[in-house]
Amino acid sequence: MTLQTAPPTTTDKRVRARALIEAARESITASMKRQGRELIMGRKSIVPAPTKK
Amino acid sequence: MASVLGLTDTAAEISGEIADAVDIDAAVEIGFVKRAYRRGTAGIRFRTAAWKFLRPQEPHWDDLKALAKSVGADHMNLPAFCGRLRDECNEIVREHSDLKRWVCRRLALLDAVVVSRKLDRSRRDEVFALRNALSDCTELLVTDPAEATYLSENLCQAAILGAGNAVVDAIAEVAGLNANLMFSVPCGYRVSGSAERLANQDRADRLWQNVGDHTHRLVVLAESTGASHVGFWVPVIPSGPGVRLPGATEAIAGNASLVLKEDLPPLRGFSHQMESDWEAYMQREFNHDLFLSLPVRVPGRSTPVAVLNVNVNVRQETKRHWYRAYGAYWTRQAEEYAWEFLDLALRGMMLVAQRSAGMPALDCGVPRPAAAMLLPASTEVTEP
Repeated sequence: MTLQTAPPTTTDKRVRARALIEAARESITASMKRQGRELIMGRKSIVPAPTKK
Repeated sequence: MASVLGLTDTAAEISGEIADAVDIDAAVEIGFVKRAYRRGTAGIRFRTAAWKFLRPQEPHWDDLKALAKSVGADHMNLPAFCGRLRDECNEIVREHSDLKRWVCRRLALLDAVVVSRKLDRSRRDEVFALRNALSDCTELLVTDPAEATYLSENLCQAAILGAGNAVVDAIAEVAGLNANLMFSVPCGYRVSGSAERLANQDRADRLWQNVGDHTHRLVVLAESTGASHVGFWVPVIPSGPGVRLPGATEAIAGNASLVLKEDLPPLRGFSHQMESDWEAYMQREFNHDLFLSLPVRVPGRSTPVAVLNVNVNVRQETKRHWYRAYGAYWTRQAEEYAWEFLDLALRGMMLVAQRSAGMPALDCGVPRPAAAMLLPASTEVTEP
């Protein structure tokens, strides 16, 4: 039996791309935090704010 | 081994006899006298090795074994020898603090043998997620170009931060970092957009007003979130004998370049005015401890297509570890660690350049996505 799934819509792709980029960004900043590294913003240095789940 | 250590055959025989007498296997192999000799002379032999290692002629990887042999330490494995040599070099720094920077540069080679730094395992997940996002962005370029451009910019920001973080993984710990990507463009190119970008461009205009003729410049076109360097540029000047502009200019020629604020490398081949302008800029305007410029190479191109700059703040206790970035081994490893993120950033940039007004034509070894080739119309589902 072959499973047939509908191709993703434009909205699906948009939502998925946003979620993937956000997940990658969160993972990078979490990794930086674990290692005691801060993200330097412009002329200031801040700890990246935790993202709401 | 006996001759290397300066022992006579007789002494070696005696040590063998002693070993036989005490009937210990290890003693048969090494010998009591040899061990006593090694312990008794280790200090002077390693001090000799350290001074040899610090001589003006820069040692290479292959020289380490010869160095170990020359001081009768070739019975040790290389990491153990290098670890001990590193301790001895640090001892020399304690006694002669003026030599600190010189010794720190040399320690890069020993650290390459002794220290092992690994890529965080989460890098794989991050690259995987960004690659899937890039695929979606590419498809969205047909149906929703504005959203595709916005998402591609975000993807670039994340990929560049990932690249910077991977570089740090490869070299040494830091307190903070950000990163940016520079691309070579003709001198006539001017950035457009926010006041911040224009201000960065003006700052570079002022800094390089005395630099002399050049046809191309490297401009920061993308960066990690909030780094605030987009628009800043440096001239592309072919380096040669007597000409050197450290940083991105050196990196685009294929050589990684470390610039430490407290140990600025010299500019060569420029006017005194230019040298003092650059030093003043670094001291007053550059708000980090150091930056590392790495060439971004792609397969099939003989020259780098872009430059990754990683700006870093370091803790005092780990500052000396960043001298590793003077060593080719470390920067090659950093390039390797960052490569997948840089590939994603380049591809993301090509999507951004496709739609954004004011972006220069980029030639970075990645094909520009042609809308007609992106997706066969039959597979696209339009929303009701």
